[in-house]
Amino acid sequence: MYHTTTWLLWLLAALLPTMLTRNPLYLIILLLAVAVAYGTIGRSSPLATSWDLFLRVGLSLAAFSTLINPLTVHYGDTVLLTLPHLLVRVGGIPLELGGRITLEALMYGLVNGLSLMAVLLIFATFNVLVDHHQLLRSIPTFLHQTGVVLSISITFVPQMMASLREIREAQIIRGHRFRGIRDLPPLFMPLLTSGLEQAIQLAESMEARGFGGDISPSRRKQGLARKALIALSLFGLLSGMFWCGYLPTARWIGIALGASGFLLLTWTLRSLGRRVRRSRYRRELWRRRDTLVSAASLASLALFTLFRLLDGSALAFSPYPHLTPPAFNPLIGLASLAPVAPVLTAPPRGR
Amino acid sequence: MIELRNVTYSYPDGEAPVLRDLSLRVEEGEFLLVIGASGAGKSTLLRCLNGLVPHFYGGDFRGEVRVAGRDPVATSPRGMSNLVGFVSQDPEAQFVVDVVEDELAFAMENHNLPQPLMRKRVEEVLDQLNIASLRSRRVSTLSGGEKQRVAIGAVLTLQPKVLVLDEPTSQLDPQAAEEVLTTLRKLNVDLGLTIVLSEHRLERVAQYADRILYLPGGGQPPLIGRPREVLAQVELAPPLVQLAKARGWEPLPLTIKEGRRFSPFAIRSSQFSMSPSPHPPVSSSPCLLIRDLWFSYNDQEALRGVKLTVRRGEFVALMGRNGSGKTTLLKQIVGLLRPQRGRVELWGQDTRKLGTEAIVRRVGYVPQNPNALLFADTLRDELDFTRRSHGLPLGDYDELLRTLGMEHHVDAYPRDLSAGERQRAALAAILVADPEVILLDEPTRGLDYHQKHALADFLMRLQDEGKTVIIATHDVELVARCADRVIILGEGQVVVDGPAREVMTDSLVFSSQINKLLRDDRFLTVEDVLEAEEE
Repeated sequence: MYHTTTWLLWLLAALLPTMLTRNPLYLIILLLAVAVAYGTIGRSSPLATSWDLFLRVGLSLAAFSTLINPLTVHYGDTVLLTLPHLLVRVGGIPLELGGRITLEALMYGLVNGLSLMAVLLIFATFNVLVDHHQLLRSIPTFLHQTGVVLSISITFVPQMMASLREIREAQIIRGHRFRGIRDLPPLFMPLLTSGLEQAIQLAESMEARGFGGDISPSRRKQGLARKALIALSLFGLLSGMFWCGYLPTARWIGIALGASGFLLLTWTLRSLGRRVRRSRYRRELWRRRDTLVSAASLASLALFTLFRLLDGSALAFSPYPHLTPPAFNPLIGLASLAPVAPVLTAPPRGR
Repeated sequence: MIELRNVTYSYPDGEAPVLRDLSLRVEEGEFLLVIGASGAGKSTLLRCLNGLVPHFYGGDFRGEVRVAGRDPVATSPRGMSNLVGFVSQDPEAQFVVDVVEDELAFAMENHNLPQPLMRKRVEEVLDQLNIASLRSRRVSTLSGGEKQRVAIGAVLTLQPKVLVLDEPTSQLDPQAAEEVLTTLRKLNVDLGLTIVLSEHRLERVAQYADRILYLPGGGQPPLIGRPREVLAQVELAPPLVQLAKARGWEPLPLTIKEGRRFSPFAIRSSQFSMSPSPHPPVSSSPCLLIRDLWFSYNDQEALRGVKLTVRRGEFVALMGRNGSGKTTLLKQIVGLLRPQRGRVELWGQDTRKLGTEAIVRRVGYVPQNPNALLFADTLRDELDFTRRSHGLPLGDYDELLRTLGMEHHVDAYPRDLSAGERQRAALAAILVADPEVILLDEPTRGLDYHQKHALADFLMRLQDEGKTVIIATHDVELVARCADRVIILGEGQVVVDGPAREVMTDSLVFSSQINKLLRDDRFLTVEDVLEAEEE
């Protein structure tokens, strides 16, 4: 329905707020926007059942976080109730359970739970909405072999489930009953061997259709040189970052090191990508609605980044030591609503 | 187009060479059919043509191969991929991406063809193979015949000069096989594509082939020539050719149409009266009773009100198109599926009350895919496992294995056996529990004529011992040989139910070659005709 790039931007725009803000109001808006996006355009996807699973996991995580935080953290002014003390040791670390249960700690746990749930639901929704094979195709060319392998594994899993069912039936008829680990080989061995046999056939078929890089000996030497270049550029990049972090004097040396490492890495990977001579059959269409959704995502990303850089307090929220209502900035509220954009520009149903 | 000179090859761990000093020349535009028993080296030979042998498998390769002037051994399979299109037998295992159109483009993407050219070729191939309606379907939703045509399309987009197919129809039902073979025939005639094909169903392809290469295996010299010449000399032959050879018809007919020229001679035999084939005494007590059975998978209705009675000692063949409910019916009988409406009774007891364990002690079911069953290190272990699972004492399996012709393989690793041997190993693993009712699902997939005969004889012996046999199959020749009763399913309902001879003579599709030729319900197999002659 949308271009893969649009979905990737959407994912970024939805994830960034969960990292930058702990303000429950923005998180709730974000959660609702994501849920609406799933509810209107994601539910018809064949993967829709996975979303419910994510929702259940998210809800239980949120509940767990909300309950465990006040039990272990006793900071905050508003005491709700006092429980008897209980000192437990988890792997040698003393943990104090019970005691003063404060409203602030409860609130803190709730906010953490909300943010965890938001991350889970964002990925769940992305997973339901994006076309996986299209996504894998947008992997950069120097990684295309990895992409193909991933793509095959996606197709392989349902096949594997089908053959497991077939094997289980076949063994039941032989009187096999599953009682313990010792009864595993009759199920596992046929699955493994037929999986391997299928993999060999697939490899044959791919090889016979020209899949795979060039592995002539002259190329092998070049490959070695490239590996050395990648190692060198990574070293430059990392030492640059280290320099900037730990040696505040002469920062420019660190920046120069890091930048040259980054440039070298980009160049090497690009030339690697060029070596794989491979064309693409599918060209995804970029429609007007892609432009609209991407613009909304980019605007939201820009707004959050700007607020973070210019006015950090606008995004911050802490219930400690005394709970105060969170601040609300309408602009940030609007930016948190960005994940709902695909719903607004989606073509009418039934097309 | 193709030239092999003194090719000798053995697999890395094989003692004897699979191919020995093989020389062969195939002209451009030729349709070459490769036949031979399983394990005779058909697949190996085909894989030499694009370099999969020795590149993919290793081993010891000697001799010279040239395909369109190029040497596959030096070029590697990848380099050969735009000259030789290779399709293997299992349509499931060849797909890389999930949508038909992308699958067709995969090979071209690897060859870095420009996008406009890819578009053009995908359209052409979709039309050539008549699969344009499938273009945006997911490959997992296609039928077997459609899958195999897509697999052929996926190699045709590179516009190869030679198309090599390794038993492309062995996993398909007759209709799907027919689809694939007529497609190949069209490619050969219309485009002049050179085709090299290995195949068990000679009755379907022999007529299309320009020449046949027979690989006897076991180090004997191969035989190559016009179909008539080769079929006259080899034992592996379709029933029509067998009959023609026995009667000395010249030139050897390859199709029913050609056979009609001789059938006046055959009909002469109708003056001999023949006693109807001796039906074994069928006891009157029904061992299986199905009453108004309904079953559906999710929204798909598989069985719609099936009514059926099978008596002890009967040999029943379930026939019908793919998806007509044959497998579902067998699974219902053995209790793997439970009726949603109606009931299945075994020896007067409802299967819902019996429970799977109680059923499988008396009913043996051999699934379509023997690989789903075999897991142990030796065949003996497999048999021990079944006995132990059923709580039976371990025994000596010589007799069972001897009747199956498997006595030499008792200590073999089941997965190393050939397709036919694996099928029989799976059969042994079920029969070792001595079931009273035996259900078989597509038992002849991938078997050659000899193996089919052996299987048919074995099943008939079981029937003589008083067992009830029910097979679901597409194989009309097997049914013609051994079944007394044929049930044709259509859309989950029993369409026809009657004595095998009547049903097969009435039908155009579910009829054996000999019966199609003579259209006489006394003659289903070559043996029927020859026995009638002797009298």
